[in-house]
Order: sequence, then structure tokens, then C-alpha cells
Amino acid sequence: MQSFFGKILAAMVLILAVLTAVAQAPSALASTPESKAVEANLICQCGCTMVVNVCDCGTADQIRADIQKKLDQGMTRDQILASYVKTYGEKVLAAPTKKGFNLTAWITPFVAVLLGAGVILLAIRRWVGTFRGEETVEVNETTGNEDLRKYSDRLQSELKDYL
Amino acid sequence: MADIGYISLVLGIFVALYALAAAILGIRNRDNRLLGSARGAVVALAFLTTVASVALFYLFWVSDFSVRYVAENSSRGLPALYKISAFWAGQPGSLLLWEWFLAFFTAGVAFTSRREAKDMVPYATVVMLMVNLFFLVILSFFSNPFARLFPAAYDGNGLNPLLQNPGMIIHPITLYVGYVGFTVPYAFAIAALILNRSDDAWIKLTRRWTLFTWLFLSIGIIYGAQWAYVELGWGGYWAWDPVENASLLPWLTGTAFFHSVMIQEKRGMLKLWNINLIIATFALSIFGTLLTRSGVLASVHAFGDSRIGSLFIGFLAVIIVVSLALVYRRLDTLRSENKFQSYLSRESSFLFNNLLLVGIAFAVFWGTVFPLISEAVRGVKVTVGPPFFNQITIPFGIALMLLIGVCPLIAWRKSSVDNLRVNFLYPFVTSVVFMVAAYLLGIKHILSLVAFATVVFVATTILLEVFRGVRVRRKMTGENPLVALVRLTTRNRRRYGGYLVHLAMVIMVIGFTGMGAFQQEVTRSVKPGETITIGSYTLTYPGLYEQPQGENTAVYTDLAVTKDGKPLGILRPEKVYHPNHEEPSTEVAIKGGLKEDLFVILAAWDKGGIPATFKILLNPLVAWIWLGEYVLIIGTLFAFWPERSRVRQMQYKPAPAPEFAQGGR
Repeated sequence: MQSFFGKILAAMVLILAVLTAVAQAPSALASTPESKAVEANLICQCGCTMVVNVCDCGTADQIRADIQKKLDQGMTRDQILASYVKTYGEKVLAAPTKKGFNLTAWITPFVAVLLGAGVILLAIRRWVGTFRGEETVEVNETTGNEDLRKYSDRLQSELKDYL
Repeated sequence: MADIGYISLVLGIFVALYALAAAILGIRNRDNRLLGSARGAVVALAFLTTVASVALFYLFWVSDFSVRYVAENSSRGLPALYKISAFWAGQPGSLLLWEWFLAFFTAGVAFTSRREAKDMVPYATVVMLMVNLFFLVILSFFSNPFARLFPAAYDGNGLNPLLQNPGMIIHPITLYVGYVGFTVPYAFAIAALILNRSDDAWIKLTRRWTLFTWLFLSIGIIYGAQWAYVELGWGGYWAWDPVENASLLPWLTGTAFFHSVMIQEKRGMLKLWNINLIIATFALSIFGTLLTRSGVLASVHAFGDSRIGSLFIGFLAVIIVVSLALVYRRLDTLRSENKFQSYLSRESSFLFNNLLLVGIAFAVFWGTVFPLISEAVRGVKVTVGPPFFNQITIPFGIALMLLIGVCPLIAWRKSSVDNLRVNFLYPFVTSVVFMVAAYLLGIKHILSLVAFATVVFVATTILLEVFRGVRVRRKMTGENPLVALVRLTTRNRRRYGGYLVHLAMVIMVIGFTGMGAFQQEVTRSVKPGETITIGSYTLTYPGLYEQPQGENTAVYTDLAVTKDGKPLGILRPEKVYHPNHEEPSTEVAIKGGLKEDLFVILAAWDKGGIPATFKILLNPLVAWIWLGEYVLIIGTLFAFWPERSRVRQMQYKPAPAPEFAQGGR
């Protein structure tokens, strides 16, 4: 076991080394984080359906320049996004807003999974409860049979060891 | 040749209709001669679709521009390889490819000779023939690949430049095998419902089909991502585009399906759930084809045509209504044979695994169709893009990864605290130590830390499990470690193949996380002789050049790359101008390794190439995604391969009695 964990540790060190090497701070020449944060929330309007920060068409270039200009003028991220919604409509945003009807887009998947988890837990509870009831009846029926009882105990014990 | 192709498709309709009638009458009258005739007709159908497909290949090969589809997707100067792949570049060809595969799979089903399939095969064949019929009607009357162009064009429009990539040969074929393949387990599930068979025979019969299909769908999805990475020129591999999402949906439910069928096979439980899962998976395959081909939603995959959208929606509705009606009718026989014995068991952990897989599928489906819902309810168009999908799916994805580590090691029926301690103490401690060490070493991105800790946990559980198996085997047999490992794994291919696939997911998640959290970008304009630095790389720009490439013209540069001062070679990013397309295509230059990819895009230039603008990305760990793909292929093939004892059984087993066509009434 020791040598096995030695290998795991060596692998961990290797992965850590790679991770720390790749996790350097972004270059100073990259777009400013403020600009990127706005770009990542807008869809290019050339018809390509891509997000502005990854689209390399002329329209995306213009939008990027406009965002930088607006940031330089002191506009906030939300103000810039609002100005684009005013011009192009909500479809310019890369994701629905988290208010009004659009909120259903965000919460429905989580509600669905939580409901699913609830149903599963209820079902397991019911099944486990029913099973325990059946198990009790079986034990009562076999109390008279000492050999079978011993065999059952041994089986349970061995299963336990195996598991 | 176009006429031969079209006549083959129309004849195919009649042959499919005949096969359907013969199969239905054969079933009804218990007439094996009719069933045999139906089987012959299925072979004829496979032959006719082959003739149609060969005809289309030929028309592309000889550049017959009197055929509209050929003229729209090919040109005289197109390289030979792409003349072949142009077959599936547009809607009619893609649908023909669908139908061609389906006809062969139908023949495969009709000739299934396994004894336990005896009564189900005719019904499954009928289901598959109905799907064939739908596609043949679409091809013959609504999306005809052999439609003529009057007058014939002298030259064609050429192939979409984005599709001129070797990945486009593999990606669509594998994806379509994946989509079409799910018809087989669906058809057997419907057959089992009609016959009121509540056992797991249909699952055992289709296990390999499902695995085969899932493998191809996986390869198709990952090759698609790889194609997007090298060809679309934006530096990423997955844009959460509706068409990309459409391929992910059946993959997710299909993955849930072949996990949950294990519970039905082992414990006779979840029958209703499994039937519904395969119905959903098949319906989502059709939904994927609908999204790709109908243009219902805006997509970068701009090869849709709304004319067939309504037909696909109608077909989808029929599939869902008929399937669910059958399920409703058989509710009584779909009850579980056993019950859960504990909250903590392999069965319950699989249920949560299924919940997450189906939950992610639902989230992706919901996000994909939400623009339509918003327009219908509010009359306002919205976009649902990467910010939405990333925020919704990443938490579910991490939880799913955790379950990948937990599920296989929890005991069937009833687990215990001891069992948990034995199996999970070391992996848990290892992952926590890893997370703390990574944090102390400077990785502060919380989501990445959690993701990396999770993959360390999963990888350790898998390796520990294999290690324990080898150790026990060595104690029992005295074999050396390698022999013990080989014998241990080859005696339970399904289990250890599954572990390999889980390991592949671990490797891919490392790639997803590295790329998602630590990508660096520099966009800069430079004059000849100037340099750009990103990370430890320095690129020197010598100026722009131009050269003809067949019928195209490429504008390129040769950037000299150094890393920490040591020369690494030349990178050549290009913009390629195509005669029949307004926008040039971007050919990125990549210098990659396991640690990172240096990804260079020639973005723009002023007149004379002074200065030129480059977008340069450092994409960490992205190669791990592609590496994971190969591990996934190996793992799936390992699980798919018959076990030795099974091969021996098959060798000694007497030939099965004729069951389908012989013997008369």
C-alpha cells in the first residue's frame, strides 16, 4: 500500500506542478477584465450567434471598441449592457436576465433536479420501509428452523466481510 | 446516375411498405414465410439505399452540376477528399446518410438470430421500418438530394470552407451512427412493450448495440469539439450552440440508460424508468436531427431548412405519444420485482447518478428551447448562450463526477459505514490534501480547486479498486502484478471497461477545467520584426505573404516561436480566401503539448500587411480532452469485447435453430 500511495503522491506532485505552471496571471496585454466581463455577456450581431469576446469578425471588433470607449467614459458594466439592450433588444445578451419571466430559465433546471431528488428519496423511503416489513415476516417464519437461522447469520457475516 | 439514385429512393418507399405489410401480416397470422419475405425486403431496402448513396457519391466525384445539391456543395477544384465528404455537407445528403445507416441497422436487427430475440425481432423490425419510411418520404418528396438544376451550372458553389477539414469526414459519420443506432434499443423496447415482456431480455439483446451507439456518439461529439477548436478559429471547442447541445442530449440520457439498466439486470428494478429513458433517448436523437436540419433555432451550423421542420415535429409527436401510450398500457407489468433494502446502496447511488445525468440533459434542453418559449410567451426574442449553460451545468457536472467515484464502490443492496470508510477514506484524504496543496501553491480559483479535487478523488477510487483487485488475485494465485492485472480485468471486461471510461472522464474534466479557468489571451497589432510575448513564449512577426492553394488563395505569415529563449519552430496562421465565399476562413496555427496549446489566429491586417493583428491564446491542458477521448474509446471497446468464457461458450454452443423464416406455418 505504501508504494502505491507513493505513486499517487508522485502523480499529485506532477499534476500540481503542471497546474501551478499554467495558472500564471494573465498577460498585461490581454483585454482588461472589465472589458472582457462586458464582452462575455453580449452576442455578436453579425449573425454568427457567437459571444463577442470570442468572435473575430468586424462587427465584434466594433462592439469591443465601443465597449472600451464606454468604459473609458465611466459607464458601468450594467449601464453598457443596458445600452445594448436598448439598441438591439434582449437577444443581444448572451444569457437571459435574472428577472421576470426570464427567471424561469434559471431556476427551472434546479427546481426540476430538486423535485427529482425528492421523488427519489420518497420512493427509496417507501421501498426500504416495505422491504423491512417483508424482512420481519421472513425472520418470524424461520425462527423455528435453527439450522436455517445459523446459515442465514453466517451468510450475512460473510457478506459483511466481503463488502 | 441522378435518376438511378432517385428511383432507388422511391422504390425504397414501396419496398419498405411491402416489408411492413409482410411483417405485420406475418406476425398476425404467425406466418414464417411472410416474415421471411419481410426480411428479404429489408435486405432489398438496404441495397436500394446503398445504390442511392453510391449514386450521390458518384455525382460528387464527377462534379455533375446538373444536380442542385452537388452544385450547391461542391466545385471542380475541390480536393477529392472533400468531394466525398461534401455528400453530407447539406441537408439532403445528411438525411440520406441517416437513412443509409438506418437501412443497414434494420437489416442487422431483422437477421438477429439469438434465441431470446425470437419473438421480439419481427416487432422491432416493424418499428425500424416505420422510421425508414419516414426518412424515405422526406428524401423523396421534401429534401431530394437528386433534384435537378436547370440549366446545369458550369461550376458549383464549392464546399463551405468551415467543412473543409479532415475532422468533417469523421465527425458527421460517427455522430449519425450514434443518432441512428439508438433506433435499435428503442425498437426492441417497443417490441417488449407490445409483447408485454417485463423481463430484461430486450436490454441484454441491445446492450452491445447501445454501447456501440454510445461510443460512436461520444466520438462524434468529441471530434465535433476538436473540429470547432481547430477550424472555427475562436480558441474554444464548445460554444453551447443549439446543434452542439442537440448531440449532447441523447448522449446524456443514453449514458443514464446504460447505467440504470444494470439495476434492472441485477435486481429486476427500474423497468419503467429504463423504458422511458430509451424512449427519451431516441426522441432526442430525432430532436437533434430536427434541430440540425430544420433551422428552427439560430445556429452557427447554418445548414437548416424550415420546410421539413414541421414534418420532424409531427414525427416526434407520434413517437412520443405512441410510445407513452404503450408504456401506460403496460404499467402493471413494468413494476419492480425487488425493493430497495437500504438508503445507502449501489442502486440508490445509481438513481442519483441518473437524476444528475437526466437533470443536466433537462437543463441543456430547457436552455436550448427557452428562446422559443420566451418568444411564444412574451413575444420577445432572447439568447441563451454560454454564460447560462456554464452556470447551470458546472455544479451538476461536479456532483456527477463525485458520483462517478462513489457509485461503483458502494455495495449492492445494502452498504455500511465500514464499507464507506474502507473505500473512500484514502481517496477523500488524498483529494483534500491535493486541494490544500494546490491552494497553497497559488491556485486560488475556487471552482477549479473543487473540480480538480473531485477528479483526484475519482481517479484515486478507481486506481485503489484496481489495486485491491490485483492484490487479492496475487494472494490467491501468486501471479506477477502484470498477469494478475490482465487476468483480473479481462475476466470482467464490462466492469473494468467502465472504470477506464470513468478514467477518461476524469482526464477530460482536467482538460475542461484547465482550459476554462486558466486560459490566457493577447490581442496585438505588430509591424514586421516586432515580437509578441505570452506566458513564456515569444513570437516574432516577419511580415505577411500570399500563396495560391488550389482554387483558393492563402494570406499567411511564418511566426518564429521561442519558449524561454529557446527556438521552438515556426507557426503559420492563415486566412484563406475561397472563390465562392465572401468571408475568408481562418486557419489557426497550434503548437501543443500536454501542458498547453499555443494557439495563434491571424485576425486582421492593414494594407500591405503592415501592421498585422494577432489573437494569441495559451490554452492550458486542452490536449487532455483529446487524450481522454482515446481512453474512452479504449475503455468502451474493452467493455464491448466478449469475455473469454463467453467466446468459449459461443464456440461450443450448437447453432441456434432457425427461428424467423423457416418452417412454414
